[in-house]
Amino acid sequence: MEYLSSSCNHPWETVVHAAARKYPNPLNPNVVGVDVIERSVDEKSGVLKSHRLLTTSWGLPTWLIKVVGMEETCYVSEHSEVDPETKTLKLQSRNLTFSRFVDIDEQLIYRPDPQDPNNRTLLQQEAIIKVNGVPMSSYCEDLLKNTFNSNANLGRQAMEWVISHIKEESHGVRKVFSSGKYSL
Amino acid sequence: MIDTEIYVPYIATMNSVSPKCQQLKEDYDKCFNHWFTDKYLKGVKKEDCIDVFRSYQSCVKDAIKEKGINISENTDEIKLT
Repeated sequence: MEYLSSSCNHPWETVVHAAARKYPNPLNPNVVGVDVIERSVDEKSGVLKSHRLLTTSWGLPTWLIKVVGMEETCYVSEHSEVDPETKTLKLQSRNLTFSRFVDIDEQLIYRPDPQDPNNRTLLQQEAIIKVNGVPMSSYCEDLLKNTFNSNANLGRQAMEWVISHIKEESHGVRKVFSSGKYSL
Repeated sequence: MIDTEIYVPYIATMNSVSPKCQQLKEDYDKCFNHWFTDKYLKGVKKEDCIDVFRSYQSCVKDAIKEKGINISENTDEIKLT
């Protein structure tokens, strides 16, 4: 699959901050758990490397789980590198559950947008899907590309949501009720 | 009737893979988020939160074993290029 590129209207540092705190967010309700398995700063390069475990739950009805025999809880392994010198954030995630049947390997790279490096961030993302070790192609590829594109769009919306909430949090508060008329 | 706006602090929490690790996770996340934005991204490479991370990490690794999650991966295929 090709790289999908997009650019957002936030500096790289803001995006990295949001990426570290991406979950929970209402656009990815299926991600229910995040844990850090390993994390360290490389002494020579200063790059922060992390290995995280994401727990996902599809909210399937119990009867369906029993009929289909699917796992309700799935796990994803995510590796990431933050390099503040080159201003690069790389993320790679892969499913751990169902890996006997399908491998979904997704990569994202965030860098300052060369056209406006102080204010905009470029995202390049790619997903490689293999069924039983064989890359998917032809018939299913268009269908998957569409799904990938719409999920990628959801991912961008999720980041925008997290960024806006972090900004409000930095002011110490979040607006809950807007100017309706309430009496105290 | 009064026009008013009510504010509450925004707190985002996420679950751990095991409830046993939840508190350790929250303690570590709080420490890490502070270090990451206020120190690491501003050029401080020295790690903080090491003790709290070790406790949390130990709990997570035990939980992963208990649940039988296989996190070992073929490192050749991890390509952050």
